[in-house]
Amino acid sequence: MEVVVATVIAVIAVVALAYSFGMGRGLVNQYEVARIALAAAQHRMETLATAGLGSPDLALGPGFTTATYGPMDVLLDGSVACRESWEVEPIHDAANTTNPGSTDLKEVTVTVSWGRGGPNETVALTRLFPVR
Amino acid sequence: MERRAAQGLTLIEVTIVMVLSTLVVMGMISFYISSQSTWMAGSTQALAQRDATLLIETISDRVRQATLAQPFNSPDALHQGVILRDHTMTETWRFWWSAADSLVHQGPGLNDDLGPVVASRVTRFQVDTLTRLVEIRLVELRAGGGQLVRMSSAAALYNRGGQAP
Repeated sequence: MEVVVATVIAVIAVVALAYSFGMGRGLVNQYEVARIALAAAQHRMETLATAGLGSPDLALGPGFTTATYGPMDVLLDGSVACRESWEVEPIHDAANTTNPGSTDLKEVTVTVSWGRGGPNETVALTRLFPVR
Repeated sequence: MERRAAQGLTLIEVTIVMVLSTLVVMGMISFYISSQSTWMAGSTQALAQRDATLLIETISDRVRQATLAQPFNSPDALHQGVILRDHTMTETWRFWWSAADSLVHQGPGLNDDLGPVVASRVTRFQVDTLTRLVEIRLVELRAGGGQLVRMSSAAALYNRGGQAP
């Protein structure tokens, strides 16, 4: 009886230890993709920042509506690492009391996702750009 | 019962116990070794990931303060460097891959080496420039366990003498 109890406890301990190692390794791999995705989001944001305010990649939709670009694949050394898209949204500056409701700024949100694109598999960067 | 206890164990019983205990101990040792290698591989990979991020952020910070960037082979297209200049075209900083230690070094000039940016070995370091953008096309680091960590990003040259980027 004692031998059986000891064996069961030992097996549970070993399995739990192996599971914790596997979890740790899985998290390391997940955060590697998250870091790649964050770097890709920074890449896109910097590219948009240098594209010029009149760039078609920063254009609002018809009638100053929100425009969405992508999704498109992000390649890293020739293979697809994640997917990126960005949204350009019109923003009214509350400090502008002369023209209430005018579009003073564009809020650009770059979203990069990987895996199934769930909440834990997405990073997003947001930045304000002048309209002109 | 007393009679059996007085007889002790037979050779077959002792042999079976020894074989079983040997198997158990060997299993525990192999589990310990594989767990340790998994732990080490995960730890070194996490360190290499952190170093890759740190390298990209360090380069990006310097690029954003610069006016002009010039990539160069150090010594080939897979191992490059980048020279950063201010608006007077004076070299302000440079990053380069060093064949001596396979690390990316930084400093105000080639003869003024402030040492490596990060401690992880870099197997590929490729940089490209567009008019107002420095593309870090690929940073590939080798973790202590042999795994490769790859990353790429870009940074804009914001210090362009008052011009909008």
